[in-house]
Amino acid sequence: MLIGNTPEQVLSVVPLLFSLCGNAQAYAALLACRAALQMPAEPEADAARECLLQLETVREHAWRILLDWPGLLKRQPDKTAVAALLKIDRQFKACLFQDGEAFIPDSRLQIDAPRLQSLLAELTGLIDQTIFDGGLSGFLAITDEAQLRDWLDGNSALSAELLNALYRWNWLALGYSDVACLPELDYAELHRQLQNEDLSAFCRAPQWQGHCYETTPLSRQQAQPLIAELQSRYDNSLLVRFVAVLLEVAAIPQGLTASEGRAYAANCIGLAQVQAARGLLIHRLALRQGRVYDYRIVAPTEWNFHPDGVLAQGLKSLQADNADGLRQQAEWLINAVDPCVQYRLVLTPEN
Amino acid sequence: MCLALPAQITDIDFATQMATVSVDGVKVEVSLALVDDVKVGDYVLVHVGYALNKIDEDEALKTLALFAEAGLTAS
Repeated sequence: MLIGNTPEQVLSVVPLLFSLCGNAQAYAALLACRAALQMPAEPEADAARECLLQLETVREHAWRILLDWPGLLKRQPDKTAVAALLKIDRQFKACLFQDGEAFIPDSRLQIDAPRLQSLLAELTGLIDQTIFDGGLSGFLAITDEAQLRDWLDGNSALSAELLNALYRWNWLALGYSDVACLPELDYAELHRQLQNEDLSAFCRAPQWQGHCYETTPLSRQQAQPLIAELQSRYDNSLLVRFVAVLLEVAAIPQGLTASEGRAYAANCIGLAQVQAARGLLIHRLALRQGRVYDYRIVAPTEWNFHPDGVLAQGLKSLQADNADGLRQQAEWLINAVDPCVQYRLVLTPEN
Repeated sequence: MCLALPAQITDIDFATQMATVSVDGVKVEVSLALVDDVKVGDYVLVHVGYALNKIDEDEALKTLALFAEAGLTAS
């Protein structure tokens, strides 16, 4: 559907098609188009765009925590909090770019710092109140499991209730797989691999250098002391995944990091990698006579839901006393890996 | 990849904050708990049983045409 379009048309269409992770999709498209056209980088505007990406990650984590986690705990979600969250989130673009146009080549940076700070404070307050019950800063200070257990003791916050359920049911190590986290992909190597791949097959079921990898919030949070310590005990299991998501939702609004947007150009091909809420998002386009003749998107879902990937392996490792228990474990694991994917779970009795 | 489809509201039950919307010709029930000020005839973006936000009709029709062109919807 993007074939035959000019890069400008691509940039107007992508946000309409991919409205959920719209900032990540639009930014990846912009970086890839700019690279293919050999346009110069825009360091200041890109730094603001990176901030919008991180805020989108917070929104995606927070709204799914607020909607899904009560469901996992058999409770009703706080929809008012989700509505308030979405209302705050809709205002960020206009704080950073003229007319809120952040992802077009001639976006004009127009930073309203006081309003931005006020919105960030509002966002942090909402997350602190609804997910951490006022204990956000305490949670961020945790560096090992013993401190985590202390924080969880008698804690009735939504986040704590979910983690406490894992301890209560001894589900801490549930969903282990030996699929590693995707390392940082060197652009030149990625380009070379894609030049030699069946691109359609790669986009459906990507592998890096012949192996499956996961790309999730856990991949991004591995260096955090708490995650490193939990991984030494529970590897990439359910507890570690939920804690990684909580770390992102708690930490990002307090420390937006303005990094440089990077892309790769080679012979009218533009290649871009950005970190979307659920993991690495890759856009690759090839131009011929100023129009797109090939456009590929590799979403994190395709890595994580690969037939031999982290979710498939994790599901195979589940063990429960009965079908209901197994179904519940599978629902929790799918939610922990990627809560955005709609699925139908069918349990097949063993012969 | 996660997609949110535009859908037109065909009926609203204000007591339950639920709406019936038409997504690609199929009627589905969605929650209106996350959006303000919507009425029958409005277009909303729908994902996992929720209307996420209201969008104007031009944008909705343009988006639906793109989904249809991509073979992601029937019409």
